[in-house]
Amino acid sequence: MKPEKTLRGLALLAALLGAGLAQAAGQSVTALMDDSVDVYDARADYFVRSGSLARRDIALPAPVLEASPRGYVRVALPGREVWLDSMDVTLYPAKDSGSSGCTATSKGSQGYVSRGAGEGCR
Amino acid sequence: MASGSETSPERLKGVGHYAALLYGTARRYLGSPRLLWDDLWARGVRRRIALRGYLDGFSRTDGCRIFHTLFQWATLSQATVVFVALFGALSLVDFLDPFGLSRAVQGYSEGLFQKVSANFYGQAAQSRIAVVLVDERTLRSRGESWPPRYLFYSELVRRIARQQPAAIFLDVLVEDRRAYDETLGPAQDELQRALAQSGVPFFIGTLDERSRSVFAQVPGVRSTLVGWSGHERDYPLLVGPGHYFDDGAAIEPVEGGSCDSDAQPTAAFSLYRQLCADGRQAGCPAALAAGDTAAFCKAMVVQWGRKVSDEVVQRQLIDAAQCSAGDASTWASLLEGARAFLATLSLGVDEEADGRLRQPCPYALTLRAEDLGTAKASGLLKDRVVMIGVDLKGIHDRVESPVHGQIPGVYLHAMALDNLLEWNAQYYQRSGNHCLQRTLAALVILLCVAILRARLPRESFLMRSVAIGALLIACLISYLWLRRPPVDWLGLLLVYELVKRLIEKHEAHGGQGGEGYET
Repeated sequence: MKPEKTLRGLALLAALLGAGLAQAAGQSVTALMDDSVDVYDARADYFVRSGSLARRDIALPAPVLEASPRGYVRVALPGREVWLDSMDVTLYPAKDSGSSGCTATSKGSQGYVSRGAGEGCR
Repeated sequence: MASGSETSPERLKGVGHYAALLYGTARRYLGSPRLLWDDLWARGVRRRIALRGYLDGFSRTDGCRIFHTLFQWATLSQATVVFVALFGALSLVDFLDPFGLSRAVQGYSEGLFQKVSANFYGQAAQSRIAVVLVDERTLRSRGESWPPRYLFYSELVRRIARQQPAAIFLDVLVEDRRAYDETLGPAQDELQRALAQSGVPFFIGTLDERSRSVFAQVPGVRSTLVGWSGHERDYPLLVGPGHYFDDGAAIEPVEGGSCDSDAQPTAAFSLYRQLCADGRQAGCPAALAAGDTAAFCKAMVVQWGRKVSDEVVQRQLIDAAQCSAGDASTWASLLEGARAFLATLSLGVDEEADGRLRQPCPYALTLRAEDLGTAKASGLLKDRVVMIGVDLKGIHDRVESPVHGQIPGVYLHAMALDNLLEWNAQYYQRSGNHCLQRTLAALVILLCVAILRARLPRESFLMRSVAIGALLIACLISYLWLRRPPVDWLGLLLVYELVKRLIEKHEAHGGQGGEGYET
């Protein structure tokens, strides 16, 4: 493989990887949905509510430092950083819409299948 | 035996006969090829004459003669014999149900009918229900696996509640206490807080009256049944002891439903009752507010819709290549209905017809859980009943829809609720009496006997037309007026053909004996 092609491929890969970070880095919290907003603590693989903040305690727009795939954003406040639920705030630019799709149905046999919770063994 | 075969000609021909025939034909045409053309021409002429004779037979059909014969005592007498014989046989078949054939044919008849009727199912309640689906993509995007942490559920409910829906229903049995998951306490706290803040009614699935969900004790959480037994393909709105999911061994299939005081509501009925109590549904029976559920005792024969929600199209929630969003106009419905009818007719010869007919998109508006925070989903769930369901490989929660094929179980609850919102207590039920079916059969038999006795040229065609026409009328009256599933048209057509052949055979034998049909 030619060295230029390898370099071009690596550059493309770097650009793709950076795009996700760039989006989070480019986002800002521009408004809160309510007068106060819950803040969360990040644990190993989940978030737990740790308290709430009044609107006046947050200087808007607040740049998003990190976006979690679980739907939380980390923002910097004077003296500390907190996690907010992305549905409690307005983000700009808005999160990319996923393709909701509707592939939930499938061609299946006419065999008996469960009702709601699944028929168990008799 | 040997002497019998010598005196009477064989009724079945052997290979030697056909080989000799083939050899003779080949010799004839190879010797003189022009004979082939002459024979084909002569055969064509004979066919044309036969067809003309057949069509002329209709012009000689005297309707007055049928009418005249219809009111003769002999017609009534003979029809009574056929009616008794037919219903004796039918009752025996119904009772014995050999090989489960009767039930299978009834189910298949209903399924085929629904493939056509689904095109005409209204969309009035479609804007009031939404499904939030948790699938592999949802879990992958969050770095979760199945089962997810308890906090996943409370987080999902909190986020949905933020959009101010009319109610939320979680179609997942969260019953196991997992020692390795320390988030149960925080999840219960968070759920309680979210429900208290939003005031949104929340229902969680259970399988019996004991409500073993780990969230059952959280204030604001109500349990509702999502499983049962003994109702076959129907959706019960109330389930009593003996019909709970785990009571399977003691259950016989029931027609109708149970309405004892201990009966628990299933998901669709719980949500419907909530909407009635909140004043969000017009046409609720007045007695329901007082706790009288008598009007909802019978199980529902769920009617499936085919059309995709307008909102799905407008917000581009679906991939155009995947789903036929379709046109909601009456003409489009008629065209789709006709296409479905033709496809069901050709199912025997075209195995792919069923696949082409299948609607790949569910009727209820669907949103994936990971898309809740996107711009497309903004405000989408407001004032809707939101049902959270799972679509995961290995999680055996799928139902068979005549329109969609196999589909996640949550859509059955969504469709049953849609039926209730559409028709209130006048939803489709399985009727206990077969009065319409019997009256119509009696009329068909009377007409057919009158046609036979009138000795008209095209009696076979006329009798078949009468039978098919009567079945069509019966199906339409049953479906559109009485709100009942269609009669077992496929089974009745098969029985009709059988009876007709028996009568014709009997008549032929009578004719040979010189006594004729009228004796």
